[in-house]
Amino acid sequence: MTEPVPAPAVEEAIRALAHPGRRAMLRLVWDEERAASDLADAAGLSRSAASQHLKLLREAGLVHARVDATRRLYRADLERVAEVAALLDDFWATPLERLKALGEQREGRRRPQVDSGAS
Amino acid sequence: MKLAVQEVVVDAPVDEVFALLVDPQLFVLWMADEATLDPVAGGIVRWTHPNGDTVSGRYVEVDPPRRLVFTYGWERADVGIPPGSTTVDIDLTSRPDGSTTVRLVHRGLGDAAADAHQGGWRHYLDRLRRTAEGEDLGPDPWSDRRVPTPAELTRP
Repeated sequence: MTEPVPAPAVEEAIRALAHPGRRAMLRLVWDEERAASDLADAAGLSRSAASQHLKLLREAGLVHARVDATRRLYRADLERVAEVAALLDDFWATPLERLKALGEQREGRRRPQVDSGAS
Repeated sequence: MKLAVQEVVVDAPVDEVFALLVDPQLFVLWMADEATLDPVAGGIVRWTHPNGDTVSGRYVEVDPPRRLVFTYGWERADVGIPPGSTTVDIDLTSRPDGSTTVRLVHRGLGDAAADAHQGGWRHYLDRLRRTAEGEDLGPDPWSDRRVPTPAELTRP
């Protein structure tokens, strides 16, 4: 991660990802650019629904658009997706480490008893 | 019958503004996601917003870089403005300081539709102005708005 993602932007990204249709659309533009109409057809959504999802994905920074000749094409911003994924990893890392430490502590306390019982 | 009328002053020369109106590669910067424009009398003018709503018409008058007239309608039948049923006139005037006045008159709309298009043209002519003045706007913030049906327009 080069720059930390601001918190509201992360919330927006998580909200954007919290819909199976939007996740499907994001996957469809993972490594290929598509026009909004193609994307709607490929995702099996109405154009109107697809455009609403696309707008949320764009506002969350997960999808970029560029103009190519007479069309606008959309593509996933994988750097941004990776940033959000890394942030979620960090988020879970701390509690997981604590859980591990706690578990080891309990094990540590119990083990002498087990050992003394066995001897 | 009401008209939708909008006027905007663009800080760019008249030929550049005209190009933004008739060159499909420039048109998609401010108006639509996809465009087919054949700016000769009788030529096709058709553009599609990201939600699939499509305007379709024919050029009636093309007089670069001063005047443009085309017929206008929505391909989605429930909008109630079929292709060919209304007309858009756009006149460009050079100002002494090198900027351009864009005046748009949309004729043939019903009252509620005229009010709706008044707001729509204000939004899009502002995007035209900002694009002509060098801004890279990206996709339209109205991209998820569906064009309303007459019933939706008159609902209180």
